[in-house]
Amino acid sequence: MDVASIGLTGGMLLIVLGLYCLATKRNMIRLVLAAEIMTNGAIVLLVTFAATPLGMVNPAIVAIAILAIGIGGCVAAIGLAIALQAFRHYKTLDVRELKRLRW
Amino acid sequence: MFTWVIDVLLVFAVAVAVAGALARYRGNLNKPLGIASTIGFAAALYAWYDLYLQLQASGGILVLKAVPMVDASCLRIDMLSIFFAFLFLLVGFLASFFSIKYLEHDTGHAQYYALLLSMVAGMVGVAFAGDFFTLFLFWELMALTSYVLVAFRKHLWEPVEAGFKYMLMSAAGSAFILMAIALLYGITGSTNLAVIASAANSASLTASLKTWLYLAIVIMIAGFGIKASIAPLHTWLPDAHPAAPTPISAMLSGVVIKTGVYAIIRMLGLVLFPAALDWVSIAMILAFFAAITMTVGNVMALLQEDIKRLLAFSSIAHIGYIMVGVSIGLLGGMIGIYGYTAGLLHVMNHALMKGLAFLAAGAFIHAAGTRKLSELVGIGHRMRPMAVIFTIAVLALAGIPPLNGFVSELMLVLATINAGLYLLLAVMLANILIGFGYYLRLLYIVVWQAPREELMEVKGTPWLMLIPTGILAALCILIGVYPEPFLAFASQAAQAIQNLPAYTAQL
Repeated sequence: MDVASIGLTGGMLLIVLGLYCLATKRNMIRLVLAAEIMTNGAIVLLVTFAATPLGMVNPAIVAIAILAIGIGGCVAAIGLAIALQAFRHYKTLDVRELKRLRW
Repeated sequence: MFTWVIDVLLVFAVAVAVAGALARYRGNLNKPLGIASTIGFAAALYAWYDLYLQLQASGGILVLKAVPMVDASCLRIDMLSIFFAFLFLLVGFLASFFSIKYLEHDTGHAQYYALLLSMVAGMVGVAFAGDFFTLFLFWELMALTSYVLVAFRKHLWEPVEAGFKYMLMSAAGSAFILMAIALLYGITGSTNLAVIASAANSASLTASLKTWLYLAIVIMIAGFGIKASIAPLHTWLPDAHPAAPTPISAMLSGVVIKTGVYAIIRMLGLVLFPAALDWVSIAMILAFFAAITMTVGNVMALLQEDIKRLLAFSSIAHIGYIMVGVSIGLLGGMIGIYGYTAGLLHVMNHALMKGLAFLAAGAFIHAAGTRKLSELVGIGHRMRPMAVIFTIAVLALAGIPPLNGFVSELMLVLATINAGLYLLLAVMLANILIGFGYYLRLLYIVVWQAPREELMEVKGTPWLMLIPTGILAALCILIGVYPEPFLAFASQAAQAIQNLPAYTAQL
């Protein structure tokens, strides 16, 4: 296996893993982490494509990857802050308890 | 750095935040902060006009450097960007104006106005972006600030819960967008939208690359569709929009979901359109989802007992109408231009009338202290001027003739007939009829019925709320009676979508 296919499979696996966690996990912190895992999978794809097909590393796409890492941190911070507020209201981190909103 | 429009908004955002932090223990700064933020929006609108004149002089495209440290980042402004930026700034200005009175009982004004200004800066940036770095930067600026604004009243359970749901779905959408960026880079070797458009145009697109391009388009529609709330991905909207403070609901329903529509139009209609793909099938699939979106929105709106939730579901229905215009636009040619014009005019009209409906409903909620329709019975009698404005908004949403909603809905119906999509036409007409049902029910409850005892103490409408809603109501009537200049504006934007040579002129 070459680098490209390892990166591609790895990134796709991370994204699928993140989606699976988003769909099944019940803990709010784990859900935030699931979103982070999805973003990280996409970043792995970005870096893979940046390095392989055209022979040289393109600074533009690496800049996007670094930006995405930083923004992932911001999303985690906001997600955890909202989870903290939810914990103060509900005294639990279980999203099944957060079903007061109808669909 | 990013044209005066965005710079002014960002400078005001920082200034408002710093002023609020410095003056924390020095009395009540709520009104001055609101006024400062409104002035910021007015200045940005002036800068927008300047940019509009520059664009007219330069022949359809302006290319500017964005982030100085990143070589690839640039702004690429055409009429489509200018069209959307105008709506974002206008609704932002009026929402900020309305907030001065509406938020009088809340705390955290400095943070609120700073976030509002940054959100609009992010939206304008998305409309101006010329490459994926800039696009993603501003997309996330808009998304992050909107999560916080939805959960702004954190002492209540509903905004926190809705904000968490919104954040999770939207973060997944951002991951999809990143994935689509990666795939598009892998296919074309660039992050610049104009270069991607030229690369998609070239004959070197092999069969396997086409398969990858289809995959990228699907992932991209999923990513941007979460923000635009296209049917299976709409579930966050009816929670998040009612939970936010009302001016923010007006922003979210009026313009934030339109950034998703903008991104879909920009990516499919302009950047990837030259690629030799089966665009008719893509348009039909998009039209299918548009039909589902409007049906879900209208049927669910029939069942709502909460005024803001009802308006939020009606937003989903209107996104369905707009997507009809976009999918007809993807058919290309003259039919396509007409479809885009109708869709874009409906984007403008929906931003105005849904913003107006939310703000007027906000005035009622502010006075009565409840969002339940059963407790708002007859409040229009106690607030006559606001009742008139609310009636204009709801009738415009329903598409009654002398108002703006009618013009664009008629154009959308004509566009479906032009394209020969009679099934879609039937679904759309049926949906407009269903829409009448709940809009008239809303009017009957809020404006027509005799007021409840508890509402007797409600008296008069604050003039600070009447001015912004009055401006919007006047625009709704003006577009309905005299649509020519607005139609010309929308049609210029629609022509910019198909004007690929101009877009790729200055690489």
